[in-house]
Amino acid sequence: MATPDQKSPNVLLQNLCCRILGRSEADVAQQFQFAVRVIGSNFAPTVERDEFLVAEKIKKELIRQRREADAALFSELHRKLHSQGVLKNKWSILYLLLNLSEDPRRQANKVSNYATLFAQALPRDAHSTPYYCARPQTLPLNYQDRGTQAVPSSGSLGSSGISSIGMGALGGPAPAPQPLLPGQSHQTLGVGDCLRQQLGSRLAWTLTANQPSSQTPPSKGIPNAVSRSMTRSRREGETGGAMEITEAALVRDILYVFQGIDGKNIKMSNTENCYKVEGKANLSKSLRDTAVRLAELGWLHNKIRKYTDQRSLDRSFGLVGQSFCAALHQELKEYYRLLSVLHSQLQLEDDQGVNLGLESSLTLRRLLVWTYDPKIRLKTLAALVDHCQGRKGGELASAVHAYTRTGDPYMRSLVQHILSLVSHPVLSFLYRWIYDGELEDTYHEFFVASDPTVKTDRLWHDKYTLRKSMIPSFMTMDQSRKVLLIGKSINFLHQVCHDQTPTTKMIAVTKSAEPPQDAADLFTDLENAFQGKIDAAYFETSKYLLDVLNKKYSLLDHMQAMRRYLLLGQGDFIRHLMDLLKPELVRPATTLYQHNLTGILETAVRATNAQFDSPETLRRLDVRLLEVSPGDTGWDVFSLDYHVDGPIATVFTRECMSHYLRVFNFLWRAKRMEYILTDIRKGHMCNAKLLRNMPELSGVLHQCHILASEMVHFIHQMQYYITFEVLECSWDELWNRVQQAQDLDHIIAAHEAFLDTITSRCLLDSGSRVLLNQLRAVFDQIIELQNAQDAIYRAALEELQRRLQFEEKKKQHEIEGQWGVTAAEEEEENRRIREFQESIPKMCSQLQILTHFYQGIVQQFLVLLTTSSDESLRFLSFRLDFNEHYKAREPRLRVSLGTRGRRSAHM
Amino acid sequence: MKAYAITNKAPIRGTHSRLPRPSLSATEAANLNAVSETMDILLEISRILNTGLDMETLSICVQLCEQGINPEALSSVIKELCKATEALKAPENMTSYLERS
Repeated sequence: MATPDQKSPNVLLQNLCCRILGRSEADVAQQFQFAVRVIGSNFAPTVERDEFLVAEKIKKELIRQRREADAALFSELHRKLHSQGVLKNKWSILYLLLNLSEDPRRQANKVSNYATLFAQALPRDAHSTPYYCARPQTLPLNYQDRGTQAVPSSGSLGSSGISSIGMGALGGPAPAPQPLLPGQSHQTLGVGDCLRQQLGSRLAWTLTANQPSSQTPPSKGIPNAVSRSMTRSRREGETGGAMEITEAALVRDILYVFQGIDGKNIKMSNTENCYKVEGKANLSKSLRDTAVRLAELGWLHNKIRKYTDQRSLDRSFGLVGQSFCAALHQELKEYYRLLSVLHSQLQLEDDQGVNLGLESSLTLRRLLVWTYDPKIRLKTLAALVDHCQGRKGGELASAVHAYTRTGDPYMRSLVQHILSLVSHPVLSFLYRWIYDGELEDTYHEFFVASDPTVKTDRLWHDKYTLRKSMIPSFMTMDQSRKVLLIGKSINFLHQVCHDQTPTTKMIAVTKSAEPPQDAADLFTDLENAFQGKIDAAYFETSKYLLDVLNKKYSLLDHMQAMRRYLLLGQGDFIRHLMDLLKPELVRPATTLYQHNLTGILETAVRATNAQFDSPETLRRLDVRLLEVSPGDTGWDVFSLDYHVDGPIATVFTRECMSHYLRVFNFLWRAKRMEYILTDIRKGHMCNAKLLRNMPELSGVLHQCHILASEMVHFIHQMQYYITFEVLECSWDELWNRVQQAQDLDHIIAAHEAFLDTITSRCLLDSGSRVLLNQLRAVFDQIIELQNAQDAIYRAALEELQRRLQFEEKKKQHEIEGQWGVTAAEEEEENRRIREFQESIPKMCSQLQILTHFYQGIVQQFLVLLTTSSDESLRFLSFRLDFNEHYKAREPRLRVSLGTRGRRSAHM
Repeated sequence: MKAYAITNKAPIRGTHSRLPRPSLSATEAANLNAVSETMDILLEISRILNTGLDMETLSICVQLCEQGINPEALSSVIKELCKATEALKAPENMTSYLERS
């Protein structure tokens, strides 16, 4: 009742050992270990659990021993026991008692019969009952220390006469017990035959040694058991002064060595890491060799056992490793089963020696044959253990997989079986990841790693990575990337898109619920099924993700909006905006207020086609003022901006947005130049008529026009280049790719490629800094021209105004009847005109300087263009210099372009 | 019904005296009686069959069997242990024998 009293079987076993051996706990360690081993490997009894059957057996046994009274007593007791309901397992205890029961007639045999593992060398004892044991006393005593064990066969053996036959003869050299069997196994010859052969030879030898011929040579008439005892005793009668080790002793030792326990004669030698037979034992070479060969099994067993024991203590070993150990354990259990069968065989021989024929006796040869297959198995396992040292997770699976590549079908099936068990955790991780997006990998065994520090905004890019070392070798890189993508998409959907659609809706394929099955399938030729599963999951998940992004978050719409606004795609809006902003932006940057500019933006939007855009897009459009450096005007700090958040921000990351803004800056500047030049042109148009009356200005104005035209041409070409060759082409490519994209990664990659192309083609990357500076210089010149022109026009117009006023006054005076103009006035007027005319050459020279400067810069620009690595830029140089106007002036440009159409950079 | 044999723990450790229990209900007492009767019967059977087990060993065996240990394995273990015991005792016998002879 009191469960604290309940002791575990281990404790009970230990108590049992102590009790029987009469020793304290510390001394019984070896026995206890043995007991645990035996019991641990024999869980299922081999006979039927029938209580009555056992009782009947007991009764029969008693009757056989001619103890009817006891039999009757037993029936009575059994009946009483049966009526008591205390014991649950009556069968068990009765069977136990039956097995332990001793034939009282055999009592006397006890001491002599037991060959034990732990015993000291027992000299022969002095029983003289002819019935039971061989009679060494009759043997001539040319061997002093009788070998270790007494006749191990219990039970009745032949008469003393037999032992006298062979024993005495063996005063000679010690032949090996099976000298005639150097390579034969017991399968080919019956044991009896072998022994008879040997006996024959021995007898021949004995006869020649002058033994009394009264000894009946053993012939075929010898009962098997007798010749068996002969064998035994003969072996024991080996000559030599040293301790004799019989084969039976070796067999027992080997059986213990198989389990890794040191035997009496065969011990583990730690220095050489192998089992060795004790050197001083006198053992024939073949026996020794066979024993050592068999001991290898024990060594292999130890190796495997050590590994599993070590690993079971290792807490961080992980699921894959644990399944590997479990697989190894299974194999070892099979092995123990074999061992227990061998053990029971040995027991059987011990207990019922009479009826057992020679054919079933356990010899080293037999063991060799029977353990051949297990040896191969253990060898494979030990090799696996070696190979897998220190690995865990997917690496371990790869290591095991490496071993399936062998031609031996037996080994292959074994390793495949282990592999299917080992890869089961990996596959279950995989399926969970693919279908649920969940990753519970405490021991870091799966090849998808999750970084918990990453927040949701960087989830797509940074949170999940591939752990390359853990990718099992039966999965390709492509598959593992796909797997990563699938899980990432699911997590992305759940966390960033807030879309909690269960994956079963997403994935039309039925989820297979049999990972072990899949593991087996994986390695047969049905790998396409596995690949097909991954592909289907990938396809469905990505499609769903893209659908969500496009429909719910209108990713493509935003992309187009970027193009329209940030990349100046919406021409009318940009133009109108610039018109509206012009008066604002000429002011110094410090006086600008964002809300003013935003208001202007809104106006522009409402007035142009941009108003028909979706409000979502327009909501995100905004004005951004860049950092102000001293001396900046508004033009230098103005920028548009587009806000992104949520899933869109995954595609339009911060870096992308900064790229966009840089490009916008560049495009905006170029646009401004265009704008300026149109202003200049406008000025020309407007004022040409007016200033026709001032012929002295015509030279200046002409120069102005020419320069302006040059600049217009230049800017025109640049704009063409930027708009059509750079933006439109790249955008087209991007759009195609995005439409065909199968998953988000494709879109992101295409987008980044697009931005890269634009950036480099717009001369914004680091390689084109020189070109960009030149371009900026050109732009500066344009602004200079504008300023100069403005000044000229102002002066000219002012002059014109004055002259007109003068004329007006003259007319006025004439009308009034006075002199049209007085001499003084005329003088003044002339003076002023002269001043004006004097200032004209200054203007001329200014313009000339400007022109010269400008042309120099453009030439430099052209030279750089022709040496650039980008083809389209080179072609730009042709367009810019279509009539070779600059080539004529610039000697460097006259050098031939060479076969590649490109000048070297070292000019 | 629980395995009542387990309540018979007290005699295992070398003494046959029961640990004094402060209180025993009627059912408990009846159970104890049944248990001791069973153990006696088993001891008797084992004596008839000449197993050589004494009371304590027998009770340990009973507990092991009740817990589901395979009796074949257990019997082989016990046999080995007995052999070991005998072998250990033999030298003492033999030394005395040699001294005698």
